Amino acid sequence: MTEAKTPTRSKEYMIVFVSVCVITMMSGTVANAYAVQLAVAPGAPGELRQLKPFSSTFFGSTDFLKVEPSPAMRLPQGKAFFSQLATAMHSKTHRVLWSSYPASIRGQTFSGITKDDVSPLDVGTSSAGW
Amino acid sequence: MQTVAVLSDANTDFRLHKSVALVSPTFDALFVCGLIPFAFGLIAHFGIGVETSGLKVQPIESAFVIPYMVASLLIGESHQFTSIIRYFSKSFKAKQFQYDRLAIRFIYLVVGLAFAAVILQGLFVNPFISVPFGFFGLIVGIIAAIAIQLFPAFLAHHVLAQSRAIGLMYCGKRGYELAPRQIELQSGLMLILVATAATSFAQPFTAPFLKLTLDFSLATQTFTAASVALACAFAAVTIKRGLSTNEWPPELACLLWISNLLLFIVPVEISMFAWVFAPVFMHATQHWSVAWSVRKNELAAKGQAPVTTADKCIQLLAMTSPAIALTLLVLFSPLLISGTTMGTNTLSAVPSMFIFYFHYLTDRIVWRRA
Repeated sequence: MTEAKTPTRSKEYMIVFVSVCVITMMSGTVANAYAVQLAVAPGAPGELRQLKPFSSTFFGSTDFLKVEPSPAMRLPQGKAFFSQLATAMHSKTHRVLWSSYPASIRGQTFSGITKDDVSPLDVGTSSAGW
Repeated sequence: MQTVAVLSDANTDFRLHKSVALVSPTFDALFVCGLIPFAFGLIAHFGIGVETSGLKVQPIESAFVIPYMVASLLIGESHQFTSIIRYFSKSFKAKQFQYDRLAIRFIYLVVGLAFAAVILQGLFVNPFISVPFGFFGLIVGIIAAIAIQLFPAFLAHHVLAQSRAIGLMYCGKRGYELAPRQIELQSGLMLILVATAATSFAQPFTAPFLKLTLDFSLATQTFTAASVALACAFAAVTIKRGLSTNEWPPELACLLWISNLLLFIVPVEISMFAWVFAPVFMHATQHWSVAWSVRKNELAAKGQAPVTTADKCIQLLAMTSPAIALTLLVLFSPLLISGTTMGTNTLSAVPSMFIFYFHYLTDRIVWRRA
């Protein structure tokens, strides 16, 4: 029994190890690329240091990015989240299923958060006019 | 999991288990049968309180959006790759699932053409001017465009079909076989519910230049009434059978059927708070639960069932981490190439839809008994 388990386990450890490496690398890449949007979402003003890998030195350089969230919300975080979500969904009830679709949420957070003219949960389709 | 016979291809007799749950009764009730979306929806609506008056539609500014988006990505979008990975790790006989596999090959063709177009776009001014590529590309493009327009309706069907299949799994584990009349009613109800969704909150995308918002309110009301009638008929047949033979479906299956029915027939103005959470905390978690249950059963069939907590953790990580890694790689690999952020549509809509269709088709195959 133990002999049979060993190769399976080592294979699984390898799968987990490689996957975790990829996840770490990609999470860092995504967080770095969308640092401004991710900072704007909670409404945090200030300056961000964004890594530019392989830009000027071997390890890369950093750029300072100024974060300026729009001064819209005065509501508590939870209430703001659901109120704005509800407003967006009420505005297009025929798109509720798409609005709750993960890709739409992702698009909203990464791409649409800094654009005033984009409907929050319709990002991904709004620019195409759907 | 859109099949009637959703079972592991390992020869495992589910009836040996005492509980019908995929993970545990409590977990299943919350994350498979839909209690969490309804609970979160109620908390959002009544607990936190929502103000929609006076607010204009604008991007969400709240710390909540970050965990919500991360959960959407890691639980929601990554679940699609579970069936895709499983599809590539299995071998099929020539005539097995041939129509679904044909459709999958069509997706290969579309993706191949899209890549060819991108490469040719770099080499020439406009690749679609070239006659052979242009004609072929046009036909494929039209079919792909129709698939994208109908995406919300397919999504609604996918959600319902998966729930239906899991309901049947619960029944199978309990040894409760649905009678032919019950199966007919359930099939009809599922199609009518898809029609209800396609005319209300999952309307087909209209072409960008049309900018139409179609009014299907009469059709929605008709389909909703028909759904209620069919659901009542199904309940009546099930209760009658229970009273006469003392055979009752499992509680979890009943809970699942009721929550799905409510999600689809309650007016969307009310149900939308549950819908906010349903894709991640009902649909995706359903899928992960089935994948975990099947994995456990397959390992048990090989005599390698995880016993210790450490074993279970490793198996869980071995199941989830490749799907999450693949999700991030497929969706965000352009970041590695370009080093810049991606446009809205590149990031969000079209690639996700192709992945969805791939998942939709592979899902119909990989969980079936071979």
